[in-house]
Amino acid sequence: MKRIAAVVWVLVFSLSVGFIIFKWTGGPPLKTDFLDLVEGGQTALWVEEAGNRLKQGLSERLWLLVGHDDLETGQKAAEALETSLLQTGILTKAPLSDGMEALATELFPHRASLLTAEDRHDLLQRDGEAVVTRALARILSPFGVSDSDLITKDPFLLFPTVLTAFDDGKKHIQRRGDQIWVEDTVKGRHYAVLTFILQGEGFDAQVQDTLIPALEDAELQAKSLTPDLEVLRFGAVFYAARGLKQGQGEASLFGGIALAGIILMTWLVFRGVRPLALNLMTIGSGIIVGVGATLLLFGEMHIMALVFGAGLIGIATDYTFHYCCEGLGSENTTVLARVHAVTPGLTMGMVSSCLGFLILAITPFPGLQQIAVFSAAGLFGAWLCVVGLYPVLDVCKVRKRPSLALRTASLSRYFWVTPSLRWVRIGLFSGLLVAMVAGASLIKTQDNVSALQSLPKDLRHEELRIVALTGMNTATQAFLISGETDDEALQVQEALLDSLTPLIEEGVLTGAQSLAQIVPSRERRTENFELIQWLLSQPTVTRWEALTGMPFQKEMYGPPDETFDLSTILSNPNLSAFRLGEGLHLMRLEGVTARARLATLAEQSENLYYLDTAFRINTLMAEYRYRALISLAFAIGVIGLFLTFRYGPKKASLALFPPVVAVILTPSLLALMGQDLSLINVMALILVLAIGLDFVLFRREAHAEAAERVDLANVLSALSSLMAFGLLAMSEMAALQSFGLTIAVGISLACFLAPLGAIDRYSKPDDFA
Amino acid sequence: MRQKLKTLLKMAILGGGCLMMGQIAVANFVVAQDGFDRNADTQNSMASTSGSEGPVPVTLDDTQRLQGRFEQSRHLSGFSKAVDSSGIFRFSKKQGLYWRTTDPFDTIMVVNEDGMAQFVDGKPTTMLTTSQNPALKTFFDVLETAMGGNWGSITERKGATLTQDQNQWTLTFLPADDEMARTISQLVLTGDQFVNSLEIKKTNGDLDHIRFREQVIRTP
Repeated sequence: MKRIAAVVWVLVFSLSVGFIIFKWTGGPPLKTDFLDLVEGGQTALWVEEAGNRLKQGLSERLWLLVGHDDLETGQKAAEALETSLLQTGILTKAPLSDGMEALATELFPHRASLLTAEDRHDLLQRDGEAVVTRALARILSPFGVSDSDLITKDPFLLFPTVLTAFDDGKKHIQRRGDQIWVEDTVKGRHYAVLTFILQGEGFDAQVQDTLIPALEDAELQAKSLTPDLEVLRFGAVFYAARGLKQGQGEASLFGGIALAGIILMTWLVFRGVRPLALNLMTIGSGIIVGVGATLLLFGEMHIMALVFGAGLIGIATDYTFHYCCEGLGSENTTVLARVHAVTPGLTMGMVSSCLGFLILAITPFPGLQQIAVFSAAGLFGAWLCVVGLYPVLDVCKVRKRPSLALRTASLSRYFWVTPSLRWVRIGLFSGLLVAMVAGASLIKTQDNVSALQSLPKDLRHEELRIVALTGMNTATQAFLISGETDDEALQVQEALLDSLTPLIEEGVLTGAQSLAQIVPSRERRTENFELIQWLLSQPTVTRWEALTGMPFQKEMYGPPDETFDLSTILSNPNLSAFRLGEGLHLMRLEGVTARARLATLAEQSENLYYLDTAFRINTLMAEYRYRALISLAFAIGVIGLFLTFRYGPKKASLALFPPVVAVILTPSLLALMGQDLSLINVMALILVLAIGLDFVLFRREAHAEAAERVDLANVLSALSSLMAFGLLAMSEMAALQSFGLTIAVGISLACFLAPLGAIDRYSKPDDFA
Repeated sequence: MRQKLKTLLKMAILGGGCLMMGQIAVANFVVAQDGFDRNADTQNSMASTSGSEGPVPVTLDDTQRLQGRFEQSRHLSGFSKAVDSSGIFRFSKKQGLYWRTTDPFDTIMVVNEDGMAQFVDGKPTTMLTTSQNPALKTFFDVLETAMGGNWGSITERKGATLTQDQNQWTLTFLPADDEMARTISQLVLTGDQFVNSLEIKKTNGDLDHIRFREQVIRTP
């Protein structure tokens, strides 16, 4: 029996290791983007692809603004800074948006087929007069720079309006030579806008390690040469680098403190390193089996699932401590006897926790599924390690009773069974009840991802300055348009733009930018050509002749667009932001005030998808939180059913009482502390349930005379969980802080209440005298 | 040929105006128009000229407005006839230039340091920010300093020369700024106590000539 369990462990463990190595050889199958965790598989593939393209485009770019009050001084400093950064080889210069001029050159021969929405509208209404009046007004304007060359080729100045109606959103940007400049008119300061493309992935630590010091050096040098120089930076890479640095700093600090604390605690209680070694082995076994199972089922793994899954440490240490405590002066002198003594509790704990996790796995969210699979498989791995491997490895003898530790740990149980403390208990429960009710009324939900990401303030400030100065379009709302061909996608946009016009008038949005505004579909070009030809044949053109004294010729506009080459024109770099691929276009929306109207519009066509990244993610977060809460409730029900089979309804309810109270009470207590309830808290609550349940089940399954030892195991396991996760409450990262605080409160409560779950087994207070 | 076309297109882009300039310009326009109309019949105060070296332009303070009539001839190269128009203009430091053409038809243009906007029948037809067209800003600066009588800053400008005789002064401005030099080769302003004429020579041979008359200063 002992051998079989060991063989099973070896088999499972080595299979997991082998599979992990196999998956790892093609690069780590880890996903690091927080958004990957919450994005479900409900969206169409092309939408996902487009989203990835957009994300990629943003994450690989970075912007520096080099500012000085004197234009020439700033110009020199900006050039020097740019040169030194390009020399690092980690950056290349992003192509300047010179595309408008090249685009104009390409489009000009086709001016006979191009119209703005306004001109087109008037011509469709057969109001040639309005178009001609506008044209003449432009010709009259001495400041408009409409000149003879243009007027002879485009008498009604239709083309330049098409070009400028297609606003590229960079309203404040000026070009000087091959540099782009913006001006802060309030401060009277000029800024050179340097745009770079990162050669590599912004989330890659190696890329960050090359870029950040190089940038800091270059900036320092530039500032020493030019006093009063201001450098602003913006780019995903800066956030990623800061996040990693902060994460690493905190991980080594908190990790170090936690490890030192656990080692010290273990040594003080057991006077040896063996429990620690066993502990590490159990945790390692759990994590390896968990990762293996997750990779097997999902092919990849999210880093957050790994982080959450590491919460298993809390349960795995529990297993080890129970085993080790069993060795403290008990009757079970042989290893096998000790394993046998703890196996029922371990098995009950493992099975009920796994049941809970598997409930999570049936939610439709890949993030939760991964966490559930990881946790369940990990628990099984840890359990197998104790049951299968300990009998083979551990040969230590029974230790002397560390009576102080045992007695101290038993105080929590003593509190619940001492008759004289009855009124204290009643008082405590009343207090908790009041706190629960008061806190419950204060619970606020928080589903805003940006609130959980807690972006560094200084970087955020620089980003906002850059956006304000350049007028960069950072709005996340857009329509994704798909068509079999580019031409079809253009047709969809043309229809869409028509239906947006009334919405713009209503104030649902302030404007939209799309390819169709500058490059019409074939059908639209033919229509436009006919409209312009109609205008040219109208008597109103004599007004033009009267003003200019020139005879009007129809041929001025040139022939129809037989040579129009859509693919060449669409490959213009200035349009790349609007075209994600063949037939896959993006329409940017500005000033959206009523998103639901636009979402409804998109639902009416299968070629349209309304992309509102921030809203979608926040909605998903809310849905996740809701689902996770439902799953948690459902898991409690299923576990309750399982426990009823074993203990009967009364004792099962008793056993469930402490962990369930901890799970219910924690959000209220957190609310009293000013914490909002987010998905992160609910995830932590799931862990609280699993660990809290273990506390009780070990008590129920252990021999009556082992009560003291179980007390100690419970307290040790709670303390190590508190050290491993509770410390996260001090993290500067909102998500980790929230996770840590929930664990700290929840586990403390669960451990404190645990003896209540087996109160029917402790009836003799004299035991503790 | 290609270069020429490029220049042409650049000008087209700059000249065509941007219809999507947003509401700032419109708001400015409304303010400009409103402010003016309300104060149209305020007291007339003529500044006096002094000294014997020639006429000195009047200096507008922040509250004063200059107004008068204009006649404009656009000599487009290759065109047999000048494009003529006339109307009224108003200028103040605060609100910039309000330019209303009444002949051959009604159209309004507002130019200030933010940009320019043109309106036909009260609807914007052309919007252009100074940042989209830096030349416009230089142009407006020159006009503003000349009309506002801000001599110091005019003569300090790169490429500016001032000549003066008993009856009038002439300011010639050769754009030094790259952007402006691409389209405008020379600005010539002449005047006595007011700017009386403005000549804009374009790089392609076009010539715009604007004459100002019946100018008065209004003080609120």
